[in-house]
Amino acid sequence: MSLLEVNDLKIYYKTSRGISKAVDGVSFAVDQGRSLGLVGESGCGKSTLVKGIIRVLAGNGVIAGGSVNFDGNDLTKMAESHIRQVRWKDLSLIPQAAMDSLNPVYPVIDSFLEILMLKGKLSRADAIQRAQELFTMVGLDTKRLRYYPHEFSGGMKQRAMIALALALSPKLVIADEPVTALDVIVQNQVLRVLKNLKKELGLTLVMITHDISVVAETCDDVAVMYAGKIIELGPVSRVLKHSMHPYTMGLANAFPNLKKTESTLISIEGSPPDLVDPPKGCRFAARCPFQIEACAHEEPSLVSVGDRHFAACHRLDEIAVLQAKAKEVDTWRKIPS
Amino acid sequence: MAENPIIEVRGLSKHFEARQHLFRKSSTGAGVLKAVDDVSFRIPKGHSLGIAGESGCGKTTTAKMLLKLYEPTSGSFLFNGKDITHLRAKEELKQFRKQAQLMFQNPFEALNPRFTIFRSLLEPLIVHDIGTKEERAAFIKQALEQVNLIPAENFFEKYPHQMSGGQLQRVVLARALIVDPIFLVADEPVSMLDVSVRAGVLNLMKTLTERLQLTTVYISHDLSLISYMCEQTAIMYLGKVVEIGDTMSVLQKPKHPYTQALLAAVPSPDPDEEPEEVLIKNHVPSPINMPNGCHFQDRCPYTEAICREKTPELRQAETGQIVACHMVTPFFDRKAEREEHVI
Ligand SMILES: Nc1ncnc2c1ncn2[C@@H]1O[C@H](COP(=O)(O)OP(=O)(O)OP(=O)(O)O)[C@@H](O)[C@H]1O
Ligand SMILES: Nc1ncnc2c1ncn2[C@@H]1O[C@H](COP(=O)(O)OP(=O)(O)O)[C@@H](O)[C@H]1O
Ligand code: SF4
Ligand code: SF4
Ligand SMILES: [Mg+2]
Ligand SMILES: [Mg+2]
Repeated sequence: MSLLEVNDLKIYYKTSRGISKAVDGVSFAVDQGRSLGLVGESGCGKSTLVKGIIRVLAGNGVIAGGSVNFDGNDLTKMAESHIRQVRWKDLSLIPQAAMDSLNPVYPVIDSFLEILMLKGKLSRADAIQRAQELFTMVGLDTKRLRYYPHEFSGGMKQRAMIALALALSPKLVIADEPVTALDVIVQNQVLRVLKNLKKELGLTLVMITHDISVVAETCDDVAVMYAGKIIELGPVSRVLKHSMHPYTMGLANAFPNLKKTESTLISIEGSPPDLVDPPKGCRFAARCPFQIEACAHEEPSLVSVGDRHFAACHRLDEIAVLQAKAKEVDTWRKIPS
Repeated sequence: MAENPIIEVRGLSKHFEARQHLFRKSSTGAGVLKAVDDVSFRIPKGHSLGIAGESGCGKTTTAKMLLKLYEPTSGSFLFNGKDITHLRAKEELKQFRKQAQLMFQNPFEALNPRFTIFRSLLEPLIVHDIGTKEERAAFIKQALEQVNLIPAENFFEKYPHQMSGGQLQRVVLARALIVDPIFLVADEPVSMLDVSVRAGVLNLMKTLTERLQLTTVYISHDLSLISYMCEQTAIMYLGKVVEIGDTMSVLQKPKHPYTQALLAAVPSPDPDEEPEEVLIKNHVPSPINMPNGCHFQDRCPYTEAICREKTPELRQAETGQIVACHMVTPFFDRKAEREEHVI
């Protein structure tokens, strides 16, 4: 059985314009010891999804349906007092812009002692020792535990946040954009820390990023989100090298690649739909060069397209043709809407 | 080079007096922070130079000197053949500000949220006294069409919050181009944009700068972006250019150990590719009161005694680019040697 199993999860926000369906029927599973990358453009619901999973949504957000089975329990049904014990101990979230969430008026060690002593019930001496262990684990000098957050560089803060998330040895760590805004060398160091922890501690990891190269280098599986839905899911090498969904193909075209200097970048024109009033059919239709009649009325469901590989598109049976066409610049020229 | 370069800087430096009160370890009082130290390069007309390097290495400070937003501490700056290092005359400075334009990183901050797009584009025309009232409207229409915001009239009365990041960045580009500059600096032009729209903005910039024969400087920590956009690449480390030359040479056959590390750290979009090993250690040291010798000495995998004594001069490598490293000679470089040993 999978450690984390999300079934048809729906998370809605109440807004002045109506209900915004930020996550609208999302399903996926992560096995013990594996890592899943969650990619998609800004606003597609990645952060909402992971905040929903650990139930730290903003006040106007609600779980409107579905279930989140984690280690045998449905987190959506769990009492708040119970889930508070699960957080940190069994699963931790490293939130987006986590770097700025260390309390600036206390030395960094205080954040560790709080978690280790209050939640982990460790004695002060044990907590200090554990904090030192954690710092060493992520490659930080233990002397720095006494420093204040502003005395850390961005990458050091990010590593401290990873160490904090690991404080009580959770089974699952969810990291929301852990390397965005970091320089490549620091990014490389942080990703290496995460990869090593996975290998050495058997950590299960869900990582949000908008950079498919980061996913390619760090994750086993990847889920591609678009406008509140997962539109493609599977092992990284399948999804990135044999993309089955036109949006995934488009993303691959949009990335500059150091090794392929001669190829032209192709953008996906247009922007994602309004989640308060999403289109009836395929949510990608307005930007998809391959849309057909059916795409406007009927929503494609996520179906199996091979070994643990899933995609949601009406034209999966013509995939070879689409894959070839997707590589041409002209295919993606402005689509009449 | 036959033609006069549009941009030529020689030994350009910008030093700041460093305040150290935030750092508990310090005791020596004020030091000198060499944000940019003895930087030289030239950019021929219509060419583009990419400047890359880790945060704090001096990219933006260099750009600010190229736009005369900072007075250099030393060195000289020739613009279109003319030494303007100490240019102060109001009229000439204004003329320079028209010819040299900056494209901001964050399109949401670059535009006044209370101005319509039309008003934002009108502003530079008024400042530089370009056109009559009717002509100005035509220029604005043209500028928007140039950046593919069509039909232009649909955007005239829009406010920034009514547009997407990609559209706004096109407006920012249109505003830079509307005064007909010859030089453009783009500081992280797409880092705030979503991946799916980045390519569109980059392609647009590429086409327009080629068509208009604009000389450009792109600043980015994203080497793949620079490799896509720029003919020349400069790699900066702690205020110094450590490697500069044709993008093909610098990014495909890097010679400086720092460039090699930067490139090894870039993740590959191919999941089957083995990640390269990044050989350097630690993080960027404080730029205040740098030690003698090579700035990279404490992180470099190849440091030798000479690196701690002498600052390496820029010399040409056999692959064409210019490199500041004691261990790079036309016949020898450490990375190749190391790889031979591994095999
Ligand atoms: N508190 C909120 N109230 C109303 N709408 C919200 C709220 N938080 C997020 N949203 C909306 O929900 C959708 C998904 O937001 P979310 O933050 O999960 O996206 P994301 O994929 O994480 O984007 P980014 O990469 O920009 O962080 C967006 O349309 C967003 O505007
Ligand atoms: N006005 C200033 N006063 C003091 N120090 C500055 C100032 N501007 C930049 N610096 C310092 O100069 C160095 C280079 O900065 P900058 O050019 O902004 O780097 P980058 O753009 O590469 O991130 C940094 O150490 C920075 O803190
Ligand atoms: S279902 Fe239709 S519109 Fe949606 S991705 Fe497939 S072809 Fe395109
Ligand atoms: S000069 Fe020495 S320390 Fe500097 S980069 Fe070259 S080998 Fe390394
Ligand atoms: Mg987010
Ligand atoms: Mg900068």
